[in-house]
Amino acid sequence: MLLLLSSLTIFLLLGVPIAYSLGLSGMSYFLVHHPDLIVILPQRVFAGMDSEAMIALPLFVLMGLLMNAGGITTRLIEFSLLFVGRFRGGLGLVNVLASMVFGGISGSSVSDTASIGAVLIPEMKRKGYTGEFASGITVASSTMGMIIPPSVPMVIYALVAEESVGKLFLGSLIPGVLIGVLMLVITMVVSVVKRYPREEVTLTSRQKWSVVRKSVLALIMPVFIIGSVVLGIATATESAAIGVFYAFIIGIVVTKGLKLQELPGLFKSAIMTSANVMIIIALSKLYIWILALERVPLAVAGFIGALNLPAAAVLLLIIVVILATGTFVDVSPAILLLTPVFLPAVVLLGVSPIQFGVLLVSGLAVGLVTPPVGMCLNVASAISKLSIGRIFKAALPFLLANVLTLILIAYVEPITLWLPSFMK
Amino acid sequence: MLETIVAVFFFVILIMTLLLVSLRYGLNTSIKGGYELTNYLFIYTTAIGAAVSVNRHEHIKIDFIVNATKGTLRLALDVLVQLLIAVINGVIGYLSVSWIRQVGSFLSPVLRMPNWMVQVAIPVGSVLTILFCLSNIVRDLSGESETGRESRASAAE
Repeated sequence: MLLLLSSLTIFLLLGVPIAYSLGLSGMSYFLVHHPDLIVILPQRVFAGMDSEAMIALPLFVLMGLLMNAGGITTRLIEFSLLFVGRFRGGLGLVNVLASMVFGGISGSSVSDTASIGAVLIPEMKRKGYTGEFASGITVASSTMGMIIPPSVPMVIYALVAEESVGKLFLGSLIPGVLIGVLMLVITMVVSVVKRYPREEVTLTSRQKWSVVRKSVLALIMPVFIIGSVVLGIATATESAAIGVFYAFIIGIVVTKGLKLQELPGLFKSAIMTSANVMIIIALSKLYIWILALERVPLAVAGFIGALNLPAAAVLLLIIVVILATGTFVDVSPAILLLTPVFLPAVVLLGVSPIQFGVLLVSGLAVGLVTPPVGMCLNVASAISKLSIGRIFKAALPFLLANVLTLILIAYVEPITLWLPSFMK
Repeated sequence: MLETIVAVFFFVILIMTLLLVSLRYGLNTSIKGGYELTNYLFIYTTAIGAAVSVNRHEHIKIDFIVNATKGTLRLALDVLVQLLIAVINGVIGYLSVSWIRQVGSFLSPVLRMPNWMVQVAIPVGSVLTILFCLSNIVRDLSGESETGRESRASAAE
């Protein structure tokens, strides 16, 4: 156990890719403790790759890429402008609202920062907002991308925890929207204090209808995907494939921003992104197998039980661990590392795996906005030319929404479990 | 080239999945072994895709400590990481040969094809990864890579 964890830490800190760190650590364990079992290495890795459900992963990634390439970002910004642009700090509110909707379409926080940030950060600076405010609100609001369904990290959690993707999608809907609403409130308050401008929307009724019509066709997609999975009409993989087809049609016929010659590049990008996560999943299965062999989940549960803490305190402790892990480890590997260790323990405490999954993904989303490995920070820094430290500082007030929601997820069960309770 | 093969496999997976859903709801039928085939193709995309990622240094890793190093230390760390990746892939690839010999002749449930046809993705991926690791080490040591160039520049200073 000690060898397993210490060797993993050393390999990770040396900069060995996470997938191979898991493999090397597992191999070290076998060599020292069970040389006779090392023969199962390839078998475990193969078993980790052999899952029909995992095919959903590259399909969801491709769906987001197609929507993005089709020019949906501009439509969503125009759509959001119609509703919240006229209030003080209009572009800040547009940034948050567009991220809420974009989250439902792309399922990825990093592409949210890249797409919305590329348009809104320069525009906000031009309208008198500080670069820090524009970048801070962009990165903070993009955390919703991986919480509001459909969500790629939620699919990964579902695969590891062997839970229903549909239930997780429903469970994360209220927390995701709640973060958005709280961020809108925070933006309004900051905008009033800093006297940020309102936006004048001078469109005719016909133009407004055109904006709504084009956006609504994109907005239907997440509803359809979640609906088809929840109602059992299609599996997550099938609904993602249909989502890809729909995104393709929208990009070609409606928004007309998608070029056919872009498709090979998008396919390559989606499958390579997925392969990077898939190989971690494959090798983490080996790791999970060893953890089970060593009865680590039971030991963690025993340790937590021996602390004699109330469930509320344990959940608070777990939130701290999730936030700390998210600060240093990327979302997908963090899900793969934390789930097998903590899930059995929290289930013994009476916490639902759905509630834990939403807590885990929502907590790790904050890590995208914290140095030193915050992916969204890096993207926003490239766009705004500001240091990640300054952007992080500017994002802090908005991250209050995330922290508050995390606490609600942990202590108010219906927030995550009420909607899934309607599923059979 | 490999990236294109992986993308083509992914395209086939997408088309097959769409076809299977359409046939199920449209004609209440299916393609025999369709799901099995998409699953097998996906295993190949993962094995080969992971190898390509080694070549492109795109694997997910915790690199803030490594990024803080410079010159010869950075070069040594990069070479060490490539060697470690090659070692674990060498072990997996080597052990997979005897594993496939033992169970590779079993037939898949629907397509009735021997399992080795898909299990061989493991050693294929491992061998490709090792080759890319060696290529990366050569590029590092010969000064062709960014790390190699920086190391040479700092040594010259």
